[in-house]
Amino acid sequence: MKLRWTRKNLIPLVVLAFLVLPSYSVSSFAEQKKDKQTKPPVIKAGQVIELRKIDQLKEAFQRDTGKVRLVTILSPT
Amino acid sequence: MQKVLKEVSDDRVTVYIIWDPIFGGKFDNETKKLSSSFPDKRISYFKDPDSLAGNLWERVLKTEREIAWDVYLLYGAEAQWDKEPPQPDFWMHQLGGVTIAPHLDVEKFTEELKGLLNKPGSKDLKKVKQ
Repeated sequence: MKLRWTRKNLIPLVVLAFLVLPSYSVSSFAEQKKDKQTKPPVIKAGQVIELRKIDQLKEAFQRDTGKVRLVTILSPT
Repeated sequence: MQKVLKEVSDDRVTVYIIWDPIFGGKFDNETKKLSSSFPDKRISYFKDPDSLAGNLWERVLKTEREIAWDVYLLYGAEAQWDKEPPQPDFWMHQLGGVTIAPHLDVEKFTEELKGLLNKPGSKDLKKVKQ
């Protein structure tokens, strides 16, 4: 018997696929995607960030509330 | 600052080192070289070619210069930056003629840093590692 790919045949297959797939894989995929969107980029030790807007510093300062913050402005030359 | 950070290894301290081009020269090269010479996961290095930070903190510190630089500022755990950076809880400098804050004394600065970490108001903070 030859299977014909009609909409009527596909619906039960899609339902079956959702039942077979573990639900956590769907939710963990969603969490991974969310993490990628919300987590700030990882800054490597010694990496220098170019300050284009003062808001970059403000965001870092506010994000680190709860820590003691040491700020220093220096001339490298 | 290396001496201070070696003395206080506590990871509840976060450090922003901002490089401003006060004397010109090879700003980019020196910035890169100095930043890589002391990597510490607690430090964020910022290159500030337009002296945005220096101008901003001058309004806060009033060192009577165009740009505040060679300044060392400490903010406690509860400090909040609203419209402008808040007044530091403690600060020092290495500038001639500035009398509104003490000249940098590494030992004193280190003590102040430890004091902020041990401040009773900082209830979420753990004890200082020494």
